[in-house]
Amino acid sequence: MAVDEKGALLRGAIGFRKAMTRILQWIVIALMGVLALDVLWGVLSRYAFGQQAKWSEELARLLLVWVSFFGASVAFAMKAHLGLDYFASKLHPSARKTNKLIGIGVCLVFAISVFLVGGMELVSKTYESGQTMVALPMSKWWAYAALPASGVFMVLFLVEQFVEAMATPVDSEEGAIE
Amino acid sequence: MIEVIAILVIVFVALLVMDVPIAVAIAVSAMLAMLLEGYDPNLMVASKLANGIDSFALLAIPFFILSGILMGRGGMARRLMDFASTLMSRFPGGLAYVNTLTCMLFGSISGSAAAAVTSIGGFMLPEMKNKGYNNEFSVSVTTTAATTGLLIPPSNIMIVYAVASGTVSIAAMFMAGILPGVLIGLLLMAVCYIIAKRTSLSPGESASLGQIWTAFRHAFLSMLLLVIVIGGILKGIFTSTEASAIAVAYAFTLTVIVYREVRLSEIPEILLQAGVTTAVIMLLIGASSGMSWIMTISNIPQTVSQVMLGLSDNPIVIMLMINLLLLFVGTFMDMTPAVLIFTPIFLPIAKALGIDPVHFGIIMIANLCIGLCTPPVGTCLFLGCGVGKTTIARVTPFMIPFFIAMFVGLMLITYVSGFSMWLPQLLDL
Repeated sequence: MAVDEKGALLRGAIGFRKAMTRILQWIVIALMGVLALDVLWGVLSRYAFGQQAKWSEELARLLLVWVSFFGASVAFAMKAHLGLDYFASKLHPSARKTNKLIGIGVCLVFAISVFLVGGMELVSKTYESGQTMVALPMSKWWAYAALPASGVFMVLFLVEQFVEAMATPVDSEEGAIE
Repeated sequence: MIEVIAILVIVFVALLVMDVPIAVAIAVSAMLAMLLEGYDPNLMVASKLANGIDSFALLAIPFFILSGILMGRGGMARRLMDFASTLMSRFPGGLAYVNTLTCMLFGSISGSAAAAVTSIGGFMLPEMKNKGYNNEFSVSVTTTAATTGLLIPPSNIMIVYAVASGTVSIAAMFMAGILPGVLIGLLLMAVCYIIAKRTSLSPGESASLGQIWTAFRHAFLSMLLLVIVIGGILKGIFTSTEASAIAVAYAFTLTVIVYREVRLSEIPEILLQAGVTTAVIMLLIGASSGMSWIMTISNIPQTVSQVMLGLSDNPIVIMLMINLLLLFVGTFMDMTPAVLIFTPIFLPIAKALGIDPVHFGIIMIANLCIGLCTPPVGTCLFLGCGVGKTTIARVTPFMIPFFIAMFVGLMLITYVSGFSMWLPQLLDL
């Protein structure tokens, strides 16, 4: 691959990541905001009407699942997941690049098999069983749908990171292009 | 079973060393073990992730995180520090005590040791440097003192333990942690006292009663949050999850409306930070419950229990073994997965020895607090070195006296059950 072609690929990948991260970040912000208001409403309604709206707890648990999985996708893009970079940072630059590619590969396998394949299996099983929520007029599979829905973004982020890591020259520092 | 243990340990450690996210390392090693035992790993881990998170008790975690961020940004850490400063800076080496006390208060309010290290370290470390304190000593004080906030309620890790144990009440855990948290704080201050004497650190300014009162008034509204949350849970006025939501409403009112130190335009970013922090913890919780499940299916807890109880039937010896194992685990595993994975293994043994599950939870948390400050995986140590602009290698010698203090505290908490159990029993929890 020619050098400028690699540069174009890198810029394209980074632009794609930034745009998508922004969208997902707003999803997480909105979910967190609604979650906070929902639980507060639950507490208030218990005092105001003597009895808590049953749907508020169920909605809160549903939102927690959605926030967690979409947040987990964003965390991959923001590199916010906890890890141990002590040993990897000691590696020779070219070995560090290989190590990074393998690491992203492992995350990709995890995201595809658990979030996409496992998540879809879970959704279709629950869909077939016809299970519904207790208080919310929704099917139970809505809780599980967060897995494949966020998994799509997770996979896209990881593929983008893989491309970015491939296209970044070995001797340049990480993030130097940005 | 040996194969399962081998896969779990080897794959996990290999991925960890390669800088794969810890949650992914846990999940992937558990998946390979499931494959070996003939289960569908994709479906299994997917359902452990979704169902592990779907819990009303865990809902408190995002809210305590959110209120902690609001309080940190809203200048609460600084107000607490000013108050602690009027009380303690008059003594030789006073800033070290101020640092410890502020970490205890703020760590408690924010429910997170990491937040305490970065917020308090950000203020205290430059201040201590200016006054001639050794920087590595200051980093050691901040790093170790920040962990006391995990024992003093409210504390997210106690919620995780309560969920992992299945039977323990969060209110009982919160009460049980107060005295052990204060005990470790005092022991750390004792180390500061000895070092201040040896290196003849100079005393700071002493404050008049009037100054103490003013600083107390400024810090009062922040400390009131603790009273509302703990009092409310204790009196049964609200559950811990409701308390966490009330803490958010309180922190929002205080920082956005009363003090106006957080602008409304900052709220989306704060929500995002809280959401991502929550997600990182929840992914760890989901992955760890997957690993815990495959270990249970392979009879690992029962075998460990048989082996350990076969070695000795003396509770003192067994508890020492458990503590040493947990100290080892804590050096390379983060606290949340360690609690989720090792509670099902060690809690049955503790119960067989007649140890109350609440007491055992406090022992486990006090133990793993030490691991947060030790290399190679020590979240607080990393953050402390980052804030203090120093290296792990340079800080470690200064940490040793503090490690000894924490270990002494751990032994007292382990063998004197009163530290943990007196308050919950008094309050009939």
